[in-house]
Amino acid sequence: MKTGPSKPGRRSFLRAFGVASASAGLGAALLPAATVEAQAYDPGAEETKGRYRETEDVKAYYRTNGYETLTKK
Amino acid sequence: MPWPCWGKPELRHPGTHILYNTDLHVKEGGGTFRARFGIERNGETLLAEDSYSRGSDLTDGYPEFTMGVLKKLGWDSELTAEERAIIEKIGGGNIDAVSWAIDLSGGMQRICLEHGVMHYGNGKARANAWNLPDPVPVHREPIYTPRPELVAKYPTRPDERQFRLPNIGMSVQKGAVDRNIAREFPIILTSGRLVEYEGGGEETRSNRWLAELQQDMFVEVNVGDAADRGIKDGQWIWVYGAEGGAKIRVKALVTERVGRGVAWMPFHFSGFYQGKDMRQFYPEGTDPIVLGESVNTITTYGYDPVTGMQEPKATLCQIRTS
Amino acid sequence: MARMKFLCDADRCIECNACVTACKNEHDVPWGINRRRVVTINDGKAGERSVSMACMHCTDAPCAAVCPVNCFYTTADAVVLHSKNLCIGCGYCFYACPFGAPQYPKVGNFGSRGKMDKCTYCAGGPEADLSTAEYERYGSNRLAEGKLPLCAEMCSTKSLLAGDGEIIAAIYKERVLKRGYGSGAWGWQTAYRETITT
Repeated sequence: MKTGPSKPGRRSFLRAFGVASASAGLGAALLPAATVEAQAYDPGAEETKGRYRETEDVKAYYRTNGYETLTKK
Repeated sequence: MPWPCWGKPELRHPGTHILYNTDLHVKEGGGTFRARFGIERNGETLLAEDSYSRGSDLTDGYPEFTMGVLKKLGWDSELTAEERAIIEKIGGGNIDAVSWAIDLSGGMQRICLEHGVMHYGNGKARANAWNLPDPVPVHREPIYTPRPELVAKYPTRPDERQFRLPNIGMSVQKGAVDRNIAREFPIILTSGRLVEYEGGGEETRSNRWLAELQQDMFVEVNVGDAADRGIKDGQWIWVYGAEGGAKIRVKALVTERVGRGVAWMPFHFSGFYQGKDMRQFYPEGTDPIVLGESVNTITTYGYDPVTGMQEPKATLCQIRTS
Repeated sequence: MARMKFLCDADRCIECNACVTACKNEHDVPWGINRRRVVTINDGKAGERSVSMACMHCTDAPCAAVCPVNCFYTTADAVVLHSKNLCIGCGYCFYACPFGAPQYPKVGNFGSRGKMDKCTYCAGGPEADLSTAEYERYGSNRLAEGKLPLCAEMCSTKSLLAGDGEIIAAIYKERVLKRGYGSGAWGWQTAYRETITT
């Protein structure tokens, strides 16, 4: 899990909120006027990138599973 | 293609046909029917006639290969010096008698495959196994049979001494009929394999991935038999064997997979004996993850006349909830 | 981009549980947690069928729709993964999933639910590919190694298919056409009811 300033997500919002409420104490700070709406977890491009490749291993898998039926090339 | 692959690994033999396949070259997995029962019987050849595998240098039947056969064909000159040295070492004074099966050099297999022939010969199949007690199988009732009235017509083999041991199957069978065992033990019991298991299951049940798949010893009981006895699926029940008051405590698997009057159990469990947990008797660190009753606690007398294999597949039992 | 799919050819599955075992070994999944399991219907009756089930990596995944902490994400390979850093083990996804894929280890003195675990299509998790942290939380990442899920790669009867949806669908379609029976006439009984036997 990569977290850090480069990815301002929901958690950094919560963290900021936590700090704010601790310093301001109970009361008004519970509903700060400038609340940012919670964002859905947005995984980075690195996490969602495609990893599948048609390697020799994968090609061999397709070939052997199609032995009975797929026409041989 | 099925096992075995012949010769050394560098030959890359693909594997062997089942029975025979003369449409392929032996190097491609084709081959002949093994000449296993001799050369000749009652004046008739037991070698193949007009049948040989594709590309074979020999175009008729031939016996299993020995160094003698190789010499006769003049193929022994193709042996390498190392292969010949190994064969000579194995043969000692009688090199001609060295067969392919004990030729550790693999040279005889290699040369045979090169010539498109099978080192184990090219023979005829047989339906009459003249060297076995029943050359053609005949029906014989099990020793503990659910149909005692058939025993007079289809008895088991007479009592006899086999190798060093007595086999008194017929006496036991007669005793079971006389005492009307089938009335007290009306359910046929057979045993078999679970697909992921090996043998008695000690290794399989010691493997944490496999042990998890089947955690209890069980018996498959027909739906009707279970209803008669008030047995529910998954319930602990007792199965009683037909000999010596043996009994085992297992879980019921109520299913239509077994017919009415038939019960089935896997043979992969042990570690419980007649309801008692024997885990404490395993040497430290050797007890499998899951234990269960062994089906062979309640299987009964019976031995194959040739191999001495016990009879764990056809016997009788009774099933009760207590 | 290729979309990863699982497809179990139920006419070939022999319920050997090798996929289950291979999965547990590959990812070191603890006792009681099953990322994959073999379901048998009509057990012991004529027409008995077994099918190997795991997370089906849905296009519009119901688990992701109900997750209160949004821990799910879909990769470019159409594999549904989740972050165990975010998961709170609430169990909503268990109720949402039509395939029973989400699993929860029991943690704590009262057997409360731990963080959810499920099939990753052998594609690890949000940690760096092939890192120890990734292996400890999600198991191995065969996709990053250029391989397919182990369950499918080692299926002894070639029943369980995995890989590019287009390719495995073609393999299955050809099988079905050649067979011409059973699942070969998929959906026929829905369309024609008892008037047809497959």
